[in-house]
Amino acid sequence: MALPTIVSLSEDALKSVPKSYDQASLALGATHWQTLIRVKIPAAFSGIIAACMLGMGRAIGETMTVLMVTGCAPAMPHSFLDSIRTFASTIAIELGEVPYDSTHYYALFSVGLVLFIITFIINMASDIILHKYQKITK
Amino acid sequence: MNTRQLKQIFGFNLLRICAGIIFLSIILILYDIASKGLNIISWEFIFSMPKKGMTEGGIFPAIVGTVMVTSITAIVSIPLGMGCAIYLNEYAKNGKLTRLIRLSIRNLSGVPSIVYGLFGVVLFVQLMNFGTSILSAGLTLGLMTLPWTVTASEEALKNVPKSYREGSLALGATKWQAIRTNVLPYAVGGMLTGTILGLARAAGETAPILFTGVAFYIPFIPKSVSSQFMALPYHLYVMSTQHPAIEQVKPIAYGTALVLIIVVFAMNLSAIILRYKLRKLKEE
Repeated sequence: MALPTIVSLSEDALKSVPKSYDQASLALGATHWQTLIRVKIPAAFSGIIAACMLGMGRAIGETMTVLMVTGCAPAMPHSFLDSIRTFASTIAIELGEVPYDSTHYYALFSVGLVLFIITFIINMASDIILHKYQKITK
Repeated sequence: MNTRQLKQIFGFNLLRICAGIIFLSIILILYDIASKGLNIISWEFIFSMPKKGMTEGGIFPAIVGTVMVTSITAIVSIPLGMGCAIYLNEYAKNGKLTRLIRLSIRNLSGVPSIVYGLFGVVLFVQLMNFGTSILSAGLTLGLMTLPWTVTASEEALKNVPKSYREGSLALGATKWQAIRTNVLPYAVGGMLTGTILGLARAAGETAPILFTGVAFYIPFIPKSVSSQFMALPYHLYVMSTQHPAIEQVKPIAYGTALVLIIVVFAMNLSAIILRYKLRKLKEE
């Protein structure tokens, strides 16, 4: 589910590398592959990293898909094959059942706050990376 | 053939495999849902009420619920989003405040959908006293689609050449007149395209409506915007994980998934067609 974000944003980053870069590289006798690895990807690197971070941000906040396939056991996982629950699915499962104004109710909101802060940091970081990158290419 | 060329062939084929895997996974998902959902879909399935605790019958209330919620989402997010985009692109000066607004819009688009759900519960259901209803759910989804609407509308406005505005201003029109007569008509198509894409995503979201209005089982059409409703994505979730007779309702779950995918695809397709037609119009 993170794939579409990562693919389309990385593509944008690669596309915004000026054409003169790869023309110069090709003119020096490099193959297309060498141009891609040594010139285009380094030039677009921060954009690609930002795309990956945004994709991860989406994956962290994803609720329903995770809820349906992880099994939602509220226990410490011991391996990658254990059933777990995430921030988002905890809220989704429990909010419907807790009484209004109870400690549990507010606990779920603080789970939401932590989730929000995590995604906020990821988004801010990718935003700053992208912004810097745009300045450099200009 | 030297090593450089060998490396190139190897590398490009590796990338080709990556792209192929992504493409294959889409085909697999579609095939799985279509092959299992097609034999249950019929006019009766679409236009009849669920019966016997949802083990029989159709999904009509879920379709109606989704349509109603999405229209409220559209009513909320189109004017607000377009207004915000017009302000940001046409009126706002490039200052600290504008940057802050832009930053928060970009951050809003990354906020998890369940957090919107929590926010909707507090603001619309409790504070504004709308209760769990179509209205609350629509407003929550409207907030969620706002960032997409704003970003898409801004892009559309940016694509209108500066000379259009300047020509109108030079003839003595006020700024608003220039925007209304010379900018908006050219940008409105692009704005709508982005908005439809946002709405298509909203139509498929489950988490924000989970606590703001969706209901497990209501075998009739919602009467007003303040009643609870059934929605396709939530219906699918219930049918595939929560229903007591899970094996019995599996075909219905697949049918619901197929209908949902068709609805979302149709919306995306209409956005693409709209964009294509507009591009043609511009070229002429």
